[in-house]
Amino acid sequence: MKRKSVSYAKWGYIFLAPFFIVYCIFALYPLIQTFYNSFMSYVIDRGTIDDIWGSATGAKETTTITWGGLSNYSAVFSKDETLVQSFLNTIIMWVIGFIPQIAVSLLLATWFTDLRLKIKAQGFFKTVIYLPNVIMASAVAFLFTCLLIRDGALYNFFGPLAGDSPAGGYLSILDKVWGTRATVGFINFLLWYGNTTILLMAAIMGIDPGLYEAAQIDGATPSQTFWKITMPLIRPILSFVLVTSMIGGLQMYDVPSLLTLDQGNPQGKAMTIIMEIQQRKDSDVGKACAVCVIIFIISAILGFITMFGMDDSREKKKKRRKV
Amino acid sequence: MAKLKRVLAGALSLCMVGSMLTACGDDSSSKADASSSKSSAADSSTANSSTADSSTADSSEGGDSSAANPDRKDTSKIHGTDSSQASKDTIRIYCWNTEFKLRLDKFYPKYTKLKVETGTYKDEKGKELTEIKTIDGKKVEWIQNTNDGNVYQTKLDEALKAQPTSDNKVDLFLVEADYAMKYTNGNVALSVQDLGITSDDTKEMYQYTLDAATSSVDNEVKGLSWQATPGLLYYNVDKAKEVLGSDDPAEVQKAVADWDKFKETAEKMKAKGYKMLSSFADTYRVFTSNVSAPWVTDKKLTIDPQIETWIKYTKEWTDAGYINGTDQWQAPWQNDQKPDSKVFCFFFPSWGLPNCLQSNSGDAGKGKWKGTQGPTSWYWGGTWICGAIDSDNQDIVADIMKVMTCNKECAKDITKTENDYTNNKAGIKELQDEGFKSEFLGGQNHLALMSENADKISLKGKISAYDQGCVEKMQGDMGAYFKGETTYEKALEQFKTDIKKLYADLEV
Repeated sequence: MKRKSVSYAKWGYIFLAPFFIVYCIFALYPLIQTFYNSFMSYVIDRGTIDDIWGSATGAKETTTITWGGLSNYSAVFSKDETLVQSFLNTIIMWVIGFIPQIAVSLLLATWFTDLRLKIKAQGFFKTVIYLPNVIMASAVAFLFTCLLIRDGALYNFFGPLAGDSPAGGYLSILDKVWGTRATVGFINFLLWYGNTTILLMAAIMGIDPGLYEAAQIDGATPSQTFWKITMPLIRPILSFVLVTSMIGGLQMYDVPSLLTLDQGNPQGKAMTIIMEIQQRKDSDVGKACAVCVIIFIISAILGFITMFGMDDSREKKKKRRKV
Repeated sequence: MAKLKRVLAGALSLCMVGSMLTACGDDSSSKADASSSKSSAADSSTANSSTADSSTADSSEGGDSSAANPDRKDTSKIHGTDSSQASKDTIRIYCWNTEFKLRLDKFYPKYTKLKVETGTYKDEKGKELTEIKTIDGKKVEWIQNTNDGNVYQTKLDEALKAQPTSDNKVDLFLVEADYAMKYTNGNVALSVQDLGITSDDTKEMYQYTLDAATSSVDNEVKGLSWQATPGLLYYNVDKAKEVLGSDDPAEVQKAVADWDKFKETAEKMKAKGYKMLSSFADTYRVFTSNVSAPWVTDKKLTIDPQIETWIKYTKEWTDAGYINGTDQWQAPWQNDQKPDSKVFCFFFPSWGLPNCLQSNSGDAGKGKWKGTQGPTSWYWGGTWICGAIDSDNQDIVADIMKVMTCNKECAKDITKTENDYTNNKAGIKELQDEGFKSEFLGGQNHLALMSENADKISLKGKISAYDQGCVEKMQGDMGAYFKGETTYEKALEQFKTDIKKLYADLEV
């Protein structure tokens, strides 16, 4: 019997090994390389192509890599760079999408789990709510571009909001900074509120129904039950939703990129931080890496915050129970 | 049982590892594999291998007298890695749209001596088309990536850089005027002389198409083009009659002879509720054809006065209501090319007539458009076919280049059936002598106007290897200025920062 358990442990490691090997090659090594390159002044000349055949005909070297120290990092925060602006754009567009997302999700999750409401055909509604998340974000972004651009299907409906165009008629709302940002936010809301609803429902259903019954008997109003029972008890999941959404928001790329034809216009106000990386990655590699590292650090900090946030609340609960 | 479990678990974990790796192998590029299932390979027919009339005699295998240096041709032997059998059996072609594929599929089987096998497929509109499946028993594989955002160049660079060590070689790639210099000056394309194409084969080509593909490093021609790209102004016949009183090209030309007249006509169009132009970018190439310096010289960015003029006029005309304000290449812009739209005219180069105006206006557009010179002579782009160095199918690459670019009968056929302007002066002249009439342009012989223009084209000192990004960013960033959302200074500032992002080593 003893021998058997030892051999099982061995098999456990063997089955774990493929993941770690793949992870090291395809994730860990590039990660380390990104850190290394962020300290280099690494520039590729895209107007020439490396003469890989080494002919002596005078073709130029296209890539220059020299030690740059922290110059990439200081350049990222300098005034004539657009990176800080892009960071702000990203945050703004995330907030525009996240606030309605969390509000609608909370509302739906409360309704679906309410003991007294007993909504029928829940499975159907849950599926429908989740459906937008199944569609590829790029497809939705492309759809909205076609709908909203000048002479697109919804142009006449939304155009008047954007004001008159010098070319006659109206501008498209995608010509306006607020219009583009709102559209990006709306698409993100549309894609993700279903996912959040499902998560929050799971959290609410985890609450002891006895608490709600007790509250009912004590004559608590629905809003009181929501604020005094539901909200405090789903806090760990809420903070998880917040942080994953924030990390996802920091990495926002496909929707704004496709909506603005990769340009981040109008006036670069819809350019996200990942779009900046994508624009630079083929020429200004060092700076692109520096931005990656900064995003990595921010994401890591956010990750730690949730980890401790969730642990705290659990420990408190345990302590209370012990007492 | 325990063994079965173990085997099952092992198989499942293998599947998992496999699925992890699948994403790494291939990239987002859409592979238009000729033998893929999308082609509803209903009937595969072997096309002729013997249309050996006199015209095709010069097309293949003829010019071996040039005595291609075997060392230079057999580069993969010098460079190392030999290609695999699969690579030898495949002709890999890098392209950014289907223009060349359509031409090759339609005309190559008719004029080559090699054995070509074809099949059919349905395009996105459900039209059944014939495509080449194999040439001389070698499968044809198309790798298509969009030009936008330098995507095509990035993918092509990766493939070419891997060429010496890869056993799966690229055989043929296409380059556009906006970045042709990068590939003709780099050591990545075969000299056409090494492919057995002589100066006699290319004698009817426009000199500028040869100059543009000549390497500044070794002065050898690295690519050939099947088209010359002079531009014309195409106007709507009905609106010309209504507003200008005549739809005769000579009469309309008087109304658009220079930019002042152009503006006057635009005012008249506006009075009748029409727009002169569709998008802001419509006149861009008309101005940039006449620049005095390319976008980039010695790694320094210049904004030519001609580009400033384009910005000035476009802003002026937008504010005056002459431009419809669409975005070039988008659906509303395409819809403006329908004959019943409110737009009067479009500037199009040779390839724009069949690929844009004709396809976007459809059958209803037949006879509704005519061409005239417009305010200035101009050109736009051009596509060159290059044989990749180390290619393992150089005989077929050479034959494709010869048939598609050097064969007069093929060139005439393309011009006649596709309305494209081909790179063969003798062919164009013969067509004109035969009394060529374009059915789409209401029986107009637009070749006369085109060839007048084509003679004037020179790309010398007008193109650089960075043009793709510069043009995209210039048009994109100026959009907000034209729409009145920002100032000229701010838009220009944004353009410069954008260029710095794309090309970090340029001085802006």
